[in-house]
Amino acid sequence: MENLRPSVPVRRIFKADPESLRCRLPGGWNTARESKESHSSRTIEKDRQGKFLRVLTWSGAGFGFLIMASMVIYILVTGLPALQTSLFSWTYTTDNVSMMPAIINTLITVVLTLAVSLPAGVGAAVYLEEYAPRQSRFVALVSLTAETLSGIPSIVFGLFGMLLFVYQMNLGLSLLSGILTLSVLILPLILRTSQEALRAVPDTMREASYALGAGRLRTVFRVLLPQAANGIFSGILLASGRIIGESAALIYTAGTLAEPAFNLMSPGATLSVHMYKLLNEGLFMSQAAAVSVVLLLLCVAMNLGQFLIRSRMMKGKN
Amino acid sequence: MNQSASCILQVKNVDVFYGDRQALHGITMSIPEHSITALIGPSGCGKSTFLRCLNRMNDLISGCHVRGEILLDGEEITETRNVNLLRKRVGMVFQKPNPFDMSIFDNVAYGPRTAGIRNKATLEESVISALKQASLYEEVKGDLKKSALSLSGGQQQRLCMARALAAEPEILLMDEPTSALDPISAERIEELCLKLKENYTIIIVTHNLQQAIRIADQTAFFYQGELIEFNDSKMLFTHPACEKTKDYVTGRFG
Repeated sequence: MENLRPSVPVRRIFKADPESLRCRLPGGWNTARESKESHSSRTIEKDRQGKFLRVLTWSGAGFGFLIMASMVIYILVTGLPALQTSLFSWTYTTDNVSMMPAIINTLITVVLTLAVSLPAGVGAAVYLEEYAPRQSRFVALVSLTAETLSGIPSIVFGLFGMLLFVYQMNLGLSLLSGILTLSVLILPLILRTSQEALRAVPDTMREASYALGAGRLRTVFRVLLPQAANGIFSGILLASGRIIGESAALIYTAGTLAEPAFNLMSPGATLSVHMYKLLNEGLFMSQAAAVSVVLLLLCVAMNLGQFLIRSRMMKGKN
Repeated sequence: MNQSASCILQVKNVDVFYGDRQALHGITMSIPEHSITALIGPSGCGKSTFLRCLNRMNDLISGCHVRGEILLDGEEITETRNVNLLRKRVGMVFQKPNPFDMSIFDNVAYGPRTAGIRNKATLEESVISALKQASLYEEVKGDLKKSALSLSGGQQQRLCMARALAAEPEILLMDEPTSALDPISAERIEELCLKLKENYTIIIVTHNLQQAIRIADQTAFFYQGELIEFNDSKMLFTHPACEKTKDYVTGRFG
């Protein structure tokens, strides 16, 4: 390798006879050197900026991670010691504040709320994106409403649910009232994420399907929804998180009774409501911490489940 | 032009408007069966718009409306109720390969399934036959369950042709099908067109004049929304009747 190098460095040749070079190159030696220098100085400046930005982003990421990690650690440290098998017994008593009824109610609530909201939300999204004329006033109105609703505090939904479902429709303080209230609460979320997911499917897919003689319905169900499934799934996950974490909208609709509401017309507390009640009474702080551990695990399990479903869907494709 | 050949498609006085803007002015032409017709012209001259009239893809564009008569086998198509049936008869291949995010098999079976075929053996038969017609079968026969997106660009385009052919169309519209492909893949598509014209009528939009010379039996030159000249390719490229055509095919503008 060494032998291949010219015995005299190239630059020295140039320096030795700049005049001859100026003759040969139309731009001339000086201009070439100047541009090179300004370029290199700019690179150094860029590097400094890059370093600064790197430090900034690293510290941002570190700070974020620290907050989340400390929270998880705090929950585990305070909650795990209180996590005893007696807390998972089938019945709740004043001595043993079992969370089993609440766990059951939470699962029922998540499943049934999604069962109400998902068809409605995805159906509305399909209508707004695929059927309604684009730029129609109705679409704009619905989008605006959904956006506004997703910003309203959940206690307002609780009030609405109490007035409409509990009193007006005479469903009483029941898990059903709570489920219906939560359905209204997460509808905008499902609608918007489904809309985004459908919008992300390129128009070339629609064209391809229509050009093969497929109608709108077939295009939606065979091409668009499968391709939007990933986005819709993350909407479901977000919505499930909201359902599990919701307490304000449930206290006055589903009540705080710690009994499994297999009969939907009877009241029943979910985990978050259960925890709220324990904290409110102030007598079972460590048991409340144990509930938070279970909530945490539930969220992790849900994320994991969704990940598994997703990767399985991908596998089916490949 | 060979007038004796039977014409599968007759276009009479077709105007197309996008809102207030008129994109096509009184296009009249007859397209003979089992031949390749090339549509050439500078960008924005309306050749793609014209192509999309033939399977009514323009319906999907809001504010676009078509006036005039288009007869497929003597049957008016601009008024026909069942646009899906029309699109089954007039297939289309797009500029960029656009396979669905599904397996190769499911992509090709989309057309037959849309037509209501459920029988597994029948589906398999038509998928394999379409893949063979598109000269893709040899390359993918090992694994038809593989994702269509794992294929190369040229293979994807041939898959899209197979997908269109599986719907058993009479006419195949191609909107610059080779412009997004490398020269080798483009050549394979051209060979394919020459092979397919025995059974199908092909109408192809192209920016590549050499391509039109190589494969098209007749060529139509569009300019600013008007059909300037329509003739046998040989005639049009060697002895253009109009000054504008001559300027375009000799590369004086474009």
